[in-house]
Amino acid sequence: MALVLEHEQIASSVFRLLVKDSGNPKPGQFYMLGASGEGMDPFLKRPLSVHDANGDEVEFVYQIVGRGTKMLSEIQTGEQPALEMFGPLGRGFEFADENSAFIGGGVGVVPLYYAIKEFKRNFGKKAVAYLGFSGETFLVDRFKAVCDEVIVNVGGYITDYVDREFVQYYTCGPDPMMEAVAKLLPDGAKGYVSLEKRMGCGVGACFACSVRVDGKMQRVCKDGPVFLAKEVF
Amino acid sequence: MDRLKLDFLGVEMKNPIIAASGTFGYGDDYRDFFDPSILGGVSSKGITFNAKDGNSGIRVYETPAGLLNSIGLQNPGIAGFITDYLPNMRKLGCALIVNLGGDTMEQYIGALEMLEGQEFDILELNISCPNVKSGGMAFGMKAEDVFQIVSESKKNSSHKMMVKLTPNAFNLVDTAIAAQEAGADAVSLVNTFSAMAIDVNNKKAVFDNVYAGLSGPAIMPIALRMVHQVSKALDIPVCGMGGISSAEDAIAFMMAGARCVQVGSIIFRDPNAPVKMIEGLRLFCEQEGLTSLSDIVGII
Repeated sequence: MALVLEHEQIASSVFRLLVKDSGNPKPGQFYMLGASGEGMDPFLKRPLSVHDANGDEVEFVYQIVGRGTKMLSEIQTGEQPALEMFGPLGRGFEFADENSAFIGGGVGVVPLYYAIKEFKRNFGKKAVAYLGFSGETFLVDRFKAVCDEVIVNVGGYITDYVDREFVQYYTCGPDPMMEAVAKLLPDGAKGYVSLEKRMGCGVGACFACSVRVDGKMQRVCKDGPVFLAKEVF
Repeated sequence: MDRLKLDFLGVEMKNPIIAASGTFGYGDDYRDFFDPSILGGVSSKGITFNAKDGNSGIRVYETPAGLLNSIGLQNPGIAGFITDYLPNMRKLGCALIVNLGGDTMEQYIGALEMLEGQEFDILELNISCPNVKSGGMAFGMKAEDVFQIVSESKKNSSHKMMVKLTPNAFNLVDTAIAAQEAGADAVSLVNTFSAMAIDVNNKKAVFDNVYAGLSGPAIMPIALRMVHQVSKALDIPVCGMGGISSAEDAIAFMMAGARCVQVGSIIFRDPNAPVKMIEGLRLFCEQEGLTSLSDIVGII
Protein backbone atom coordinates (compact mmCIF):
# COMPACT_ATOMS: atom_id res chain seq x y z
CA MET A 1 0.00 0.00 0.00
CA ALA A 2 1.35 3.39 -0.93
CA LEU A 3 -0.05 6.82 -1.54
CA VAL A 4 0.88 7.85 -5.07
CA LEU A 5 0.88 11.64 -5.35
CA GLU A 6 2.04 12.02 -8.95
CA HIS A 7 2.90 9.56 -11.69
CA GLU A 8 3.64 10.67 -15.21
CA GLN A 9 5.55 9.79 -18.31
CA ILE A 10 8.42 12.22 -18.94
CA ALA A 11 10.09 10.58 -21.95
CA SER A 12 9.26 7.71 -24.28
CA SER A 13 9.79 4.94 -21.71
CA VAL A 14 10.68 7.03 -18.66
CA PHE A 15 8.31 7.73 -15.78
CA ARG A 16 8.34 10.00 -12.75
CA LEU A 17 6.69 8.66 -9.59
CA LEU A 18 6.09 10.76 -6.48
CA VAL A 19 4.94 8.89 -3.39
CA LYS A 20 4.28 9.73 0.22
CA ASP A 21 7.07 8.32 2.34
CA SER A 22 8.82 9.61 5.43
CA GLY A 23 11.89 7.39 5.18
CA ASN A 24 14.20 10.40 4.71
CA PRO A 25 16.55 8.74 2.24
CA LYS A 26 20.08 9.95 1.67
CA PRO A 27 21.27 10.74 -1.87
CA GLY A 28 22.36 7.52 -3.59
CA GLN A 29 20.04 5.29 -1.58
CA PHE A 30 17.27 3.27 -3.22
CA TYR A 31 13.94 1.63 -2.51
CA MET A 32 12.51 -1.70 -3.63
CA LEU A 33 9.25 -1.11 -5.48
CA GLY A 34 6.82 -3.20 -7.40
CA ALA A 35 3.29 -3.67 -8.57
CA SER A 36 1.91 -6.54 -6.51
CA GLY A 37 0.37 -8.20 -9.58
CA GLU A 38 -2.08 -11.07 -9.75
CA GLY A 39 -0.99 -14.33 -8.17
CA MET A 40 2.36 -12.93 -7.02
CA ASP A 41 3.50 -12.28 -10.56
CA PRO A 42 5.85 -10.46 -10.80
CA PHE A 43 7.35 -11.93 -7.67
CA LEU A 44 10.12 -9.51 -6.76
CA LYS A 45 10.49 -5.79 -6.29
CA ARG A 46 12.80 -3.62 -8.40
CA PRO A 47 15.47 -1.38 -6.96
CA LEU A 48 14.78 2.26 -7.92
CA SER A 49 17.14 5.02 -6.90
CA VAL A 50 15.82 8.12 -5.20
CA HIS A 51 15.54 11.08 -7.54
CA ASP A 52 14.45 13.56 -4.89
CA ALA A 53 13.06 13.57 -1.37
CA ASN A 54 11.82 15.88 1.31
CA GLY A 55 10.38 15.11 4.75
CA ASP A 56 7.35 13.12 3.66
CA GLU A 57 7.69 12.58 -0.09
CA VAL A 58 10.05 10.53 -2.20
CA GLU A 59 10.40 10.79 -5.93
CA PHE A 60 11.62 8.14 -8.35
CA VAL A 61 12.35 8.32 -12.06
CA TYR A 62 12.61 4.99 -13.82
CA GLN A 63 12.72 3.47 -17.24
CA ILE A 64 10.57 0.59 -18.41
CA VAL A 65 12.97 -2.28 -19.03
CA GLY A 66 10.74 -5.31 -18.56
CA ARG A 67 7.40 -6.55 -17.45
CA GLY A 68 7.82 -5.50 -13.81
CA THR A 69 8.55 -1.86 -14.58
CA LYS A 70 5.82 -1.90 -17.24
CA MET A 71 3.28 -2.96 -14.60
CA LEU A 72 4.68 -0.36 -12.22
CA SER A 73 4.15 2.31 -14.86
CA GLU A 74 0.44 1.47 -15.02
CA ILE A 75 -0.19 2.34 -11.38
CA GLN A 76 -2.52 5.32 -10.97
CA THR A 77 -2.36 8.12 -8.43
CA GLY A 78 -4.10 7.89 -5.07
CA GLU A 79 -4.07 5.19 -2.39
CA GLN A 80 -2.66 2.19 -4.20
CA PRO A 81 -2.72 -1.22 -2.53
CA ALA A 82 -1.07 -2.55 -5.70
CA LEU A 83 2.10 -0.52 -5.13
CA GLU A 84 4.40 -2.23 -2.66
CA MET A 85 7.63 -0.64 -1.57
CA PHE A 86 10.24 -0.64 1.16
CA GLY A 87 13.32 1.42 1.85
CA PRO A 88 15.43 3.47 1.96
CA LEU A 89 18.20 0.94 1.45
CA GLY A 90 21.93 0.85 0.85
CA ARG A 91 24.74 3.31 1.35
CA GLY A 92 24.58 6.62 -0.42
CA PHE A 93 27.04 9.27 -1.60
CA GLU A 94 29.47 11.05 0.70
CA PHE A 95 30.15 14.68 -0.07
CA ALA A 96 33.16 16.88 0.47
CA ASP A 97 33.69 20.64 0.36
CA GLU A 98 35.21 20.57 -3.13
CA ASN A 99 34.04 21.63 -6.57
CA SER A 100 32.31 18.47 -7.73
CA ALA A 101 31.43 16.85 -11.05
CA PHE A 102 28.27 14.76 -11.35
CA ILE A 103 28.40 12.55 -14.42
CA GLY A 104 25.36 10.53 -15.45
CA GLY A 105 24.34 8.43 -18.39
CA GLY A 106 20.74 7.60 -19.32
CA VAL A 107 18.61 6.80 -16.29
CA GLY A 108 21.87 6.95 -14.37
CA VAL A 109 21.30 10.71 -14.15
CA VAL A 110 18.37 10.09 -11.81
CA PRO A 111 20.10 9.85 -8.39
CA LEU A 112 22.52 12.67 -9.23
CA TYR A 113 19.80 15.31 -8.97
CA TYR A 114 19.14 14.65 -5.29
CA ALA A 115 22.88 14.32 -4.75
CA ILE A 116 23.50 17.78 -6.23
CA LYS A 117 20.66 19.34 -4.22
CA GLU A 118 22.06 17.98 -0.99
CA PHE A 119 25.61 18.89 -1.95
CA LYS A 120 24.59 22.49 -2.72
CA ARG A 121 22.59 22.72 0.48
CA ASN A 122 25.63 21.78 2.56
CA PHE A 123 28.55 23.28 0.66
CA GLY A 124 29.23 26.48 -1.22
CA LYS A 125 31.37 24.85 -3.90
CA LYS A 126 30.55 24.38 -7.56
CA ALA A 127 28.40 21.52 -8.85
CA VAL A 128 28.69 20.72 -12.55
CA ALA A 129 26.41 18.11 -14.11
CA TYR A 130 27.44 16.16 -17.20
CA LEU A 131 24.41 14.35 -18.57
CA GLY A 132 24.69 11.87 -21.41
CA PHE A 133 21.74 10.43 -23.29
CA SER A 134 21.61 8.02 -26.19
CA GLY A 135 18.46 9.63 -27.61
CA GLU A 136 15.75 11.60 -25.90
CA THR A 137 16.80 13.76 -22.95
CA PHE A 138 14.92 14.09 -19.66
CA LEU A 139 15.23 15.95 -16.35
CA VAL A 140 17.66 18.47 -17.86
CA ASP A 141 15.68 21.51 -16.72
CA ARG A 142 15.62 20.20 -13.19
CA PHE A 143 19.40 19.88 -13.20
CA LYS A 144 19.70 23.41 -14.58
CA ALA A 145 17.75 24.71 -11.60
CA VAL A 146 20.23 23.34 -9.03
CA CYS A 147 23.61 23.19 -10.81
CA ASP A 148 26.21 25.85 -11.48
CA GLU A 149 26.59 24.38 -14.96
CA VAL A 150 24.92 21.59 -16.92
CA ILE A 151 26.52 19.98 -19.96
CA VAL A 152 24.33 17.68 -22.03
CA ASN A 153 25.38 15.30 -24.77
CA VAL A 154 23.13 13.20 -26.94
CA GLY A 155 24.41 10.19 -28.86
CA GLY A 156 28.09 10.68 -28.08
CA TYR A 157 30.39 10.16 -25.13
CA ILE A 158 29.65 12.48 -22.23
CA THR A 159 33.09 11.69 -20.87
CA ASP A 160 34.59 13.72 -23.77
CA TYR A 161 33.22 16.86 -22.13
CA VAL A 162 34.25 16.34 -18.51
CA ASP A 163 36.67 18.90 -17.14
CA ARG A 164 39.71 16.99 -15.88
CA GLU A 165 40.42 19.45 -13.11
CA PHE A 166 37.83 18.02 -10.72
CA VAL A 167 39.13 16.28 -7.63
CA GLN A 168 35.73 15.09 -6.47
CA TYR A 169 33.20 13.36 -8.70
CA TYR A 170 30.08 11.22 -8.64
CA THR A 171 28.95 9.01 -11.46
CA CYS A 172 26.04 6.74 -12.29
CA GLY A 173 25.23 5.09 -15.58
CA PRO A 174 26.36 2.24 -17.80
CA ASP A 175 29.50 0.49 -16.49
CA PRO A 176 31.68 1.44 -19.50
CA MET A 177 30.80 5.10 -18.97
CA MET A 178 31.64 4.96 -15.28
CA GLU A 179 34.88 3.15 -16.00
CA ALA A 180 35.79 5.80 -18.57
CA VAL A 181 35.07 8.51 -15.99
CA ALA A 182 37.22 6.75 -13.39
CA LYS A 183 40.13 6.51 -15.85
CA LEU A 184 39.72 10.07 -17.11
CA LEU A 185 40.05 11.93 -13.85
CA PRO A 186 43.42 12.35 -12.13
CA ASP A 187 44.68 9.66 -9.74
CA GLY A 188 44.26 11.92 -6.76
CA ALA A 189 40.60 12.61 -7.52
CA LYS A 190 38.07 11.02 -5.22
CA GLY A 191 35.22 9.48 -7.15
CA TYR A 192 32.08 7.64 -6.22
CA VAL A 193 30.25 5.27 -8.53
CA SER A 194 26.71 4.06 -8.05
CA LEU A 195 26.34 0.53 -9.36
CA GLU A 196 23.26 -1.11 -10.74
CA LYS A 197 22.76 -4.85 -10.47
CA ARG A 198 19.87 -7.28 -10.61
CA MET A 199 18.73 -7.81 -7.03
CA GLY A 200 16.78 -10.41 -5.11
CA CYS A 201 16.12 -9.09 -1.62
CA GLY A 202 17.58 -5.55 -1.63
CA VAL A 203 18.76 -5.85 1.98
CA GLY A 204 21.88 -8.02 1.80
CA ALA A 205 20.38 -11.40 2.61
CA CYS A 206 20.48 -13.26 -0.71
CA PHE A 207 23.86 -12.36 -2.25
CA ALA A 208 22.36 -12.07 -5.74
CA CYS A 209 23.92 -8.67 -6.47
CA SER A 210 27.50 -9.39 -5.41
CA VAL A 211 30.33 -7.71 -7.29
CA ARG A 212 34.07 -7.71 -6.75
CA VAL A 213 35.03 -4.42 -5.13
CA ASP A 214 38.38 -3.74 -3.52
CA GLY A 215 39.38 -7.37 -3.98
CA LYS A 216 36.40 -8.91 -2.24
CA MET A 217 32.82 -9.80 -3.04
CA GLN A 218 30.46 -7.06 -1.89
CA ARG A 219 26.72 -6.68 -2.11
CA VAL A 220 25.55 -3.78 -4.27
CA CYS A 221 22.35 -3.51 -2.19
CA LYS A 222 23.90 -3.39 1.25
CA ASP A 223 27.60 -2.58 0.94
CA GLY A 224 26.75 -0.19 -1.94
CA PRO A 225 25.22 0.80 -4.29
CA VAL A 226 27.74 3.63 -3.95
CA PHE A 227 31.37 2.57 -3.90
CA LEU A 228 34.68 4.37 -4.29
CA ALA A 229 35.50 4.44 -8.02
CA LYS A 230 39.09 3.32 -7.50
CA GLU A 231 37.86 0.19 -5.70
CA VAL A 232 35.57 -0.81 -8.59
CA PHE A 233 37.53 0.09 -11.73
CA MET B 1 0.93 -21.52 27.62
CA ASP B 2 2.08 -20.61 24.16
CA ARG B 3 0.20 -22.59 21.57
CA LEU B 4 2.91 -22.14 18.93
CA LYS B 5 5.76 -23.49 21.01
CA LEU B 6 7.31 -26.78 19.96
CA ASP B 7 10.17 -29.10 20.65
CA PHE B 8 12.22 -29.98 17.60
CA LEU B 9 15.13 -32.39 18.15
CA GLY B 10 15.26 -31.35 21.77
CA VAL B 11 15.41 -27.68 20.86
CA GLU B 12 12.63 -25.52 22.20
CA MET B 13 11.29 -23.25 19.49
CA LYS B 14 8.87 -20.35 20.01
CA ASN B 15 7.01 -21.22 16.85
CA PRO B 16 7.50 -23.44 13.79
CA ILE B 17 8.67 -20.65 11.45
CA ILE B 18 12.34 -20.87 10.49
CA ALA B 19 14.08 -18.52 8.06
CA ALA B 20 15.46 -20.73 5.29
CA SER B 21 19.11 -20.93 4.43
CA GLY B 22 20.24 -18.53 1.74
CA THR B 23 17.32 -16.19 2.18
CA PHE B 24 18.17 -14.61 5.51
CA GLY B 25 21.93 -14.03 5.32
CA TYR B 26 23.42 -14.47 8.78
CA GLY B 27 20.31 -13.26 10.57
CA ASP B 28 20.78 -9.51 10.75
CA ASP B 29 19.70 -8.20 7.35
CA TYR B 30 16.00 -7.89 8.16
CA ARG B 31 16.38 -6.13 11.50
CA ASP B 32 14.80 -2.97 10.05
CA PHE B 33 11.62 -5.00 9.59
CA PHE B 34 11.50 -7.31 12.62
CA ASP B 35 13.64 -8.70 15.40
CA PRO B 36 14.85 -12.18 14.38
CA SER B 37 14.16 -13.40 17.93
CA ILE B 38 10.45 -13.59 17.04
CA LEU B 39 11.24 -16.51 14.72
CA GLY B 40 11.30 -20.15 15.68
CA GLY B 41 14.75 -20.36 14.15
CA VAL B 42 17.20 -19.18 11.53
CA SER B 43 19.17 -21.37 9.16
CA SER B 44 22.45 -19.74 8.20
CA LYS B 45 23.59 -18.95 4.70
CA GLY B 46 25.07 -22.17 3.28
CA ILE B 47 28.65 -22.58 4.45
CA THR B 48 31.37 -24.63 2.76
CA PHE B 49 34.84 -25.68 3.87
CA ASN B 50 36.55 -23.16 1.61
CA ALA B 51 35.38 -19.60 1.00
CA LYS B 52 33.41 -19.16 -2.22
CA ASP B 53 32.89 -16.06 -4.36
CA GLY B 54 29.70 -17.52 -5.82
CA ASN B 55 28.67 -17.86 -9.44
CA SER B 56 29.36 -15.51 -12.32
CA GLY B 57 26.63 -13.90 -14.38
CA ILE B 58 23.02 -13.35 -13.44
CA ARG B 59 22.21 -14.88 -10.06
CA VAL B 60 18.45 -14.39 -9.73
CA TYR B 61 15.66 -14.39 -12.28
CA GLU B 62 11.94 -14.06 -11.70
CA THR B 63 9.33 -16.51 -12.87
CA PRO B 64 5.58 -16.30 -12.31
CA ALA B 65 5.16 -16.54 -8.51
CA GLY B 66 8.68 -17.83 -8.24
CA LEU B 67 12.35 -17.23 -8.40
CA LEU B 68 15.29 -18.93 -10.06
CA ASN B 69 18.61 -18.60 -8.29
CA SER B 70 22.16 -19.52 -9.02
CA ILE B 71 24.02 -17.76 -6.22
CA GLY B 72 26.70 -20.41 -5.96
CA LEU B 73 27.03 -20.57 -2.17
CA GLN B 74 28.98 -17.35 -1.81
CA ASN B 75 30.31 -17.61 1.74
CA PRO B 76 33.41 -16.89 3.83
CA GLY B 77 34.29 -20.56 4.37
CA ILE B 78 33.91 -22.44 7.63
CA ALA B 79 36.80 -20.73 9.41
CA GLY B 80 35.55 -17.27 8.48
CA PHE B 81 32.03 -18.21 9.44
CA ILE B 82 33.08 -19.44 12.87
CA THR B 83 35.13 -16.32 13.55
CA ASP B 84 33.06 -13.59 11.92
CA TYR B 85 29.43 -14.71 11.92
CA LEU B 86 28.69 -17.54 14.35
CA PRO B 87 29.23 -15.51 17.55
CA ASN B 88 26.68 -12.93 16.43
CA MET B 89 24.25 -15.57 15.19
CA ARG B 90 24.25 -17.12 18.66
CA LYS B 91 22.72 -13.88 19.92
CA LEU B 92 19.77 -13.91 17.50
CA GLY B 93 17.49 -15.23 20.24
CA CYS B 94 15.98 -18.15 18.32
CA ALA B 95 17.01 -21.68 17.37
CA LEU B 96 20.25 -21.54 15.42
CA ILE B 97 20.73 -23.88 12.49
CA VAL B 98 24.03 -23.97 10.63
CA ASN B 99 23.67 -24.99 6.99
CA LEU B 100 26.66 -26.83 5.56
CA GLY B 101 27.44 -27.82 1.98
CA GLY B 102 30.51 -29.17 0.20
CA ASP B 103 32.05 -30.31 -3.08
CA THR B 104 33.66 -33.46 -1.65
CA MET B 105 33.13 -35.77 1.30
CA GLU B 106 36.47 -34.58 2.68
CA GLN B 107 35.23 -30.98 2.68
CA TYR B 108 32.07 -31.88 4.58
CA ILE B 109 34.08 -33.79 7.15
CA GLY B 110 36.71 -31.08 7.46
CA ALA B 111 34.01 -28.47 8.10
CA LEU B 112 32.13 -30.70 10.55
CA GLU B 113 35.33 -31.24 12.50
CA MET B 114 35.82 -27.49 12.74
CA LEU B 115 32.26 -27.11 13.97
CA GLU B 116 32.83 -29.59 16.80
CA GLY B 117 32.76 -27.74 20.09
CA GLN B 118 30.93 -24.79 18.49
CA GLU B 119 27.66 -23.93 20.11
CA PHE B 120 24.56 -24.01 17.92
CA ASP B 121 21.35 -26.02 17.88
CA ILE B 122 21.12 -28.02 14.67
CA LEU B 123 23.39 -28.78 11.74
CA GLU B 124 21.53 -28.74 8.45
CA LEU B 125 23.41 -30.85 5.91
CA ASN B 126 22.89 -29.51 2.39
CA ILE B 127 23.34 -32.49 0.08
CA SER B 128 22.13 -30.70 -3.06
CA CYS B 129 25.68 -29.61 -3.89
CA PRO B 130 27.35 -31.21 -6.90
CA ASN B 131 29.74 -33.98 -5.87
CA VAL B 132 32.97 -33.31 -7.73
CA LYS B 133 33.88 -37.01 -7.58
CA SER B 134 30.56 -38.09 -9.12
CA GLY B 135 31.03 -35.90 -12.16
CA GLY B 136 29.07 -33.09 -10.58
CA MET B 137 25.95 -35.10 -9.72
CA ALA B 138 24.54 -33.87 -6.43
CA PHE B 139 25.16 -35.94 -3.29
CA GLY B 140 21.42 -36.06 -2.72
CA MET B 141 20.42 -37.67 -6.01
CA LYS B 142 20.85 -41.36 -5.17
CA ALA B 143 19.95 -43.20 -1.97
CA GLU B 144 23.34 -44.91 -1.68
CA ASP B 145 25.18 -41.58 -2.01
CA VAL B 146 22.89 -40.04 0.60
CA PHE B 147 23.54 -42.94 2.97
CA GLN B 148 27.27 -42.51 2.56
CA ILE B 149 27.45 -38.75 3.02
CA VAL B 150 25.07 -38.76 5.97
CA SER B 151 26.67 -41.69 7.79
CA GLU B 152 30.17 -40.23 7.35
CA SER B 153 28.92 -36.82 8.47
CA LYS B 154 27.25 -38.28 11.53
CA LYS B 155 30.46 -40.07 12.48
CA ASN B 156 32.27 -36.76 12.47
CA SER B 157 29.77 -34.60 14.25
CA SER B 158 28.12 -34.60 17.64
CA HIS B 159 25.54 -32.00 16.58
CA LYS B 160 21.92 -32.81 15.92
CA MET B 161 21.77 -33.33 12.17
CA MET B 162 18.96 -32.41 9.82
CA VAL B 163 19.54 -33.50 6.23
CA LYS B 164 18.21 -31.12 3.59
CA LEU B 165 16.87 -33.23 0.75
CA THR B 166 16.80 -32.29 -2.89
CA PRO B 167 13.53 -32.72 -4.79
CA ASN B 168 15.61 -33.54 -7.86
CA ALA B 169 16.53 -36.95 -6.39
CA PHE B 170 15.81 -39.93 -8.63
CA ASN B 171 13.54 -41.20 -5.87
CA LEU B 172 12.97 -38.72 -3.08
CA VAL B 173 11.42 -41.13 -0.60
CA ASP B 174 14.33 -43.53 -1.05
CA THR B 175 16.84 -40.77 -0.32
CA ALA B 176 14.82 -39.74 2.74
CA ILE B 177 14.84 -43.31 4.05
CA ALA B 178 18.57 -43.55 3.33
CA ALA B 179 19.16 -40.39 5.38
CA GLN B 180 17.17 -41.85 8.26
CA GLU B 181 18.99 -45.17 8.10
CA ALA B 182 22.33 -43.37 8.04
CA GLY B 183 21.45 -41.72 11.34
CA ALA B 184 19.93 -38.38 10.38
CA ASP B 185 18.01 -36.86 13.30
CA ALA B 186 15.61 -35.07 10.95
CA VAL B 187 15.18 -34.15 7.32
CA SER B 188 14.26 -30.84 5.77
CA LEU B 189 12.70 -30.61 2.33
CA VAL B 190 12.52 -29.44 -0.32
CA ASN B 191 15.54 -27.62 -1.61
CA THR B 192 15.05 -25.84 -4.96
CA PHE B 193 13.94 -27.59 -8.11
CA SER B 194 16.44 -27.73 -10.95
CA ALA B 195 15.09 -25.45 -13.65
CA MET B 196 16.21 -23.05 -16.34
CA ALA B 197 15.44 -19.89 -18.23
CA ILE B 198 16.39 -18.88 -21.76
CA ASP B 199 16.91 -15.38 -23.04
CA VAL B 200 15.27 -15.89 -26.42
CA ASN B 201 16.38 -12.55 -27.84
CA ASN B 202 20.03 -13.28 -27.19
CA LYS B 203 19.55 -16.99 -27.85
CA LYS B 204 21.34 -18.10 -24.72
CA ALA B 205 20.66 -19.52 -21.28
CA VAL B 206 20.01 -16.80 -18.70
CA PHE B 207 22.40 -18.38 -16.18
CA ASP B 208 26.10 -19.02 -16.77
CA ASN B 209 25.55 -22.45 -15.16
CA VAL B 210 22.57 -23.00 -17.51
CA TYR B 211 20.44 -24.59 -14.77
CA ALA B 212 19.33 -22.83 -11.60
CA GLY B 213 17.12 -23.58 -8.60
CA LEU B 214 13.44 -22.71 -8.63
CA SER B 215 11.78 -21.63 -5.39
CA GLY B 216 8.78 -19.57 -4.33
CA PRO B 217 5.01 -20.09 -4.34
CA ALA B 218 5.22 -21.66 -7.82
CA ILE B 219 6.66 -24.87 -6.32
CA MET B 220 4.48 -25.01 -3.22
CA PRO B 221 1.96 -27.70 -4.21
CA ILE B 222 4.71 -30.06 -5.39
CA ALA B 223 6.78 -29.44 -2.27
CA LEU B 224 3.69 -30.09 -0.15
CA ARG B 225 3.10 -33.44 -1.84
CA MET B 226 6.76 -34.38 -1.30
CA VAL B 227 6.66 -33.43 2.38
CA HIS B 228 3.52 -35.54 2.75
CA GLN B 229 5.13 -38.57 1.08
CA VAL B 230 8.35 -38.32 3.04
CA SER B 231 6.56 -37.74 6.36
CA LYS B 232 4.56 -40.90 5.84
CA ALA B 233 7.69 -42.90 5.10
CA LEU B 234 9.90 -41.71 7.98
CA ASP B 235 9.96 -41.98 11.75
CA ILE B 236 12.29 -39.01 12.25
CA PRO B 237 10.84 -35.48 12.22
CA VAL B 238 10.41 -33.52 9.02
CA CYS B 239 10.93 -29.80 8.52
CA GLY B 240 8.93 -28.70 5.47
CA MET B 241 9.61 -25.96 2.99
CA GLY B 242 9.01 -24.93 -0.59
CA GLY B 243 7.16 -21.78 -1.51
CA ILE B 244 5.46 -21.18 1.82
CA SER B 245 4.07 -17.66 1.67
CA SER B 246 1.33 -17.48 4.30
CA ALA B 247 0.21 -18.95 7.61
CA GLU B 248 -2.21 -21.07 5.64
CA ASP B 249 0.64 -22.57 3.61
CA ALA B 250 2.62 -23.26 6.79
CA ILE B 251 -0.42 -24.97 8.31
CA ALA B 252 -0.83 -27.09 5.17
CA PHE B 253 2.79 -28.26 5.44
CA MET B 254 2.26 -29.14 9.10
CA MET B 255 -0.92 -31.03 8.31
CA ALA B 256 1.09 -32.89 5.66
CA GLY B 257 3.51 -33.98 8.35
CA ALA B 258 6.06 -31.20 8.92
CA ARG B 259 6.84 -30.41 12.58
CA CYS B 260 8.18 -27.04 11.59
CA VAL B 261 8.67 -25.13 8.35
CA GLN B 262 11.19 -22.92 6.63
CA VAL B 263 10.27 -19.81 4.71
CA GLY B 264 12.50 -18.13 2.19
CA SER B 265 11.68 -16.55 -1.12
CA ILE B 266 8.55 -14.84 0.17
CA ILE B 267 10.68 -12.69 2.47
CA PHE B 268 12.28 -11.10 -0.60
CA ARG B 269 8.87 -10.06 -1.79
CA ASP B 270 7.50 -9.07 1.61
CA PRO B 271 10.07 -8.62 4.36
CA ASN B 272 7.29 -8.73 6.95
CA ALA B 273 5.95 -12.08 5.74
CA PRO B 274 7.31 -14.07 8.73
CA VAL B 275 5.65 -11.66 11.18
CA LYS B 276 2.31 -12.05 9.38
CA MET B 277 2.70 -15.83 9.31
CA ILE B 278 3.31 -16.08 13.04
CA GLU B 279 0.27 -13.89 13.72
CA GLY B 280 -1.76 -16.03 11.34
CA LEU B 281 -0.71 -19.23 13.11
CA ARG B 282 -1.78 -17.77 16.45
CA LEU B 283 -5.12 -16.73 15.02
CA PHE B 284 -5.63 -20.20 13.55
CA CYS B 285 -5.04 -21.80 16.96
CA GLU B 286 -7.60 -19.47 18.54
CA GLN B 287 -10.17 -20.10 15.84
CA GLU B 288 -9.69 -23.84 15.98
CA GLY B 289 -9.46 -23.99 19.75
CA LEU B 290 -6.06 -25.67 19.57
CA THR B 291 -3.99 -25.68 22.75
CA SER B 292 -0.95 -26.62 20.69
CA LEU B 293 -0.43 -26.03 16.99
CA SER B 294 1.64 -29.22 16.93
CA ASP B 295 -1.61 -31.16 17.27
CA ILE B 296 -2.21 -30.69 13.55
CA VAL B 297 1.08 -32.29 12.48
CA GLY B 298 0.45 -35.13 10.07
CA ILE B 299 -3.34 -35.18 10.32
CA ILE B 300 -3.66 -35.56 6.56
